[in-house]
Amino acid sequence: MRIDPKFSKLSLTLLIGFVLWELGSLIANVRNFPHSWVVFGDLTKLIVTTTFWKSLFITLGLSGAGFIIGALFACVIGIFVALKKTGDLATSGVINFVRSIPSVVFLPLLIASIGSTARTALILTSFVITFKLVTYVVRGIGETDPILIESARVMGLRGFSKIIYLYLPSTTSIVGTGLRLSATQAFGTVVAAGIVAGTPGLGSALLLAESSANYPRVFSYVFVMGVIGSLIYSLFNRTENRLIHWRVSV
Amino acid sequence: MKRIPERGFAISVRKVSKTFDNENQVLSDISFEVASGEVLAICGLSGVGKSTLLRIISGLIAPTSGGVRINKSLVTEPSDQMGFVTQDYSRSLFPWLTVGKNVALPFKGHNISKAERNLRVQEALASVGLEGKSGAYPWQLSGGMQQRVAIARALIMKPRLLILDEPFASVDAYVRLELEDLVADLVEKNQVTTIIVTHDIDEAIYLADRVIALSNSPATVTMELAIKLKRPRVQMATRSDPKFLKLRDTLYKGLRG
Amino acid sequence: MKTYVRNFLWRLWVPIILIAFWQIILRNSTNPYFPAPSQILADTKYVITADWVKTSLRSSAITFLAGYLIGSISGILIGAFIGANQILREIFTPITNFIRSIPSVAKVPVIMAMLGIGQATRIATVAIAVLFPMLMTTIRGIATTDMNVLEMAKLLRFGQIRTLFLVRLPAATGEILTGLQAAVQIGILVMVISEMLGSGIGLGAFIIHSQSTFMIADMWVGIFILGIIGLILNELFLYTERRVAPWYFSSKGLR
Repeated sequence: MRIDPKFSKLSLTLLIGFVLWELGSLIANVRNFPHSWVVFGDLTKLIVTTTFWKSLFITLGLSGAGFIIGALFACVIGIFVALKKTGDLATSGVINFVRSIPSVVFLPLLIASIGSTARTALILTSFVITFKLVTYVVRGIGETDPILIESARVMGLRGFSKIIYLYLPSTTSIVGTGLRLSATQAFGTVVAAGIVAGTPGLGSALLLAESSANYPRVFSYVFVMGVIGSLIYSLFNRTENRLIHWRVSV
Repeated sequence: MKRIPERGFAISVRKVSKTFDNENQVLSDISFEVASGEVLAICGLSGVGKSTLLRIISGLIAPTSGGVRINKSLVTEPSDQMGFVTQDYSRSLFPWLTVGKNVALPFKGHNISKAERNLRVQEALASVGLEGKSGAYPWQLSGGMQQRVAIARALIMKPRLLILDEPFASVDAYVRLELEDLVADLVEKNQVTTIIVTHDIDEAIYLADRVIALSNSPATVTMELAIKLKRPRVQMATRSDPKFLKLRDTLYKGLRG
Repeated sequence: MKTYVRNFLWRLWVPIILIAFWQIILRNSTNPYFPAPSQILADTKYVITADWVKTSLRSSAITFLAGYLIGSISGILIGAFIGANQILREIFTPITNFIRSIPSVAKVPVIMAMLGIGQATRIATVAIAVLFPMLMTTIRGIATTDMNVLEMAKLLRFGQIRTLFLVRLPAATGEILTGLQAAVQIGILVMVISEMLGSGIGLGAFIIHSQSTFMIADMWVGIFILGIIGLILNELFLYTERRVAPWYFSSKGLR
């Protein structure tokens, strides 16, 4: 009887995952790090509640909105910076500085001034994504093949069409990686705002579970976050490969 | 250098066939012999399967049927008395090592003192005309020089079999002529059995004692040609020798299948 | 040298203008949350006392450095072994990918639940947060080693271990360095979060403590220092990587 190799590899992966999990339970104590079956039992109970789906949608909505707003700002700023020759040099210092500051430190400030609302999470996320993507946009435009730029000039391409037909396709592969990383980070930031500051969404749900020492629930949420994170990653990967099939991913 | 009879390996290729993935047959029933100290050129168009044949002879991959024997023993893995020069020097020289360290790579695993290693590295580099370059990194050298480093590395352990896979395909024309003469000279000095694969007919005849033509798909030996030209070979003179031109003509026809 | 200084000065004028801008707008600010830069500057000397440096800064430094080193070295070593073997790779990649996809913030409470509070836990948290990305990066770098180089290793009769350490790892230098650079940012983030959520020592704890006691100027000082440290660490990294692998950068004709 021949076992399909893909099936056996998948089962081996799940088996090893299970073993590692139980090892974790062993190292910590079972109260704080529940057995996998306990967590999955809780997970099935969690998925059927409306509060769960509400938190999920809030988190996803905020992540998406923050991502899009940040991307738009990044494009505008990035294009402006990239097209002025000295722009890159002058602004890179500031951008790098802000990027080096973990977004979470602004949370105390934001909570104090605006409160722990969804809007806080949105503002923070948009801010973070803008700064993260700007470098990619600038780099993407900057690394457009000079030969292509010359050809465009010879063909008389100007202004807006120049952006659409020349810069946009060239930047897509570099910016593609940036977009994927930013989508993941947008999700992470919204969750962080929830955990650290209690803004609505999955993060604060996890915080709630933790403060009432409901560890199976905590782990359920962590698992859900892992699933979402993986989905975001593969979604962007898939789209990137489809759109940029002519280029190797950076 | 004192003549050591039979120093080089004698190679025997018997009915070697190679099929990939149960459907793609590349080589069919290849048989030939290489005498000790002989220079054999394997000539054929690109993609015919020359590199596959070389990999089988060098022990990197196994044939589907048939076998290769070195001095009567069956080849199952790369011999430690074999030197190999590939076409793409930029990727077979390790970019993170200097030229000197690259050339010294074959010493790994052998118990040779540091002083001895350095001495032999210097000798090897000198023999290919690169004295003083042991501290440079490969990317700092030109293509021809990098290939010389590869040649030095292949010969440093005084191998008894030297295999070259299209070694000069990636260097420009004039450098190629210099390298051909370098290899001819070194082979003579080291008395090493040499198998060189090339798609260049002129090069094959210039360097070899015998030429084998490989063509068709799957590849078979379509011609074996003895090259009875005087040694040492001289670039311009030998190539305009009427015998050379006749051999060239014969080989060309042999390649057309 | 002259160009370096000139570039450096060029990079300064935008931040300077921004700060000046900020100062002008908030000059007479009574907004408790957004003090003028001059106020923040004045407050700095109250914050950066020798004592503070010795406790907060030192604690954060140890947390980050220990966690980063442990995490990245383990990540690279484990990744090297897994990456070199196709079967191991196929088995472990989904698992590592999944764990890496969990936002770092969420991992912190989990790890604290496992190991308790304290500096050791914070170091472990940073280490784990750094380990998984480095693991993925190393696996990818090793898995995509150039066939030519591997073939040469076989011809030189290198065994598996030798091939791994002398050939595959050096060949993956580019990927590994990129991963290490990103890991610096991840390490800082997790360090701050673990300090904010855990005990009362460290830069992150200082920032959140200042905020909750309404010492907003202090909080801003903390934020700025954090940013500057992040910047310095990044520059330090760039400087070190060129020393450690000079051949990589010169061969690519970079920078």
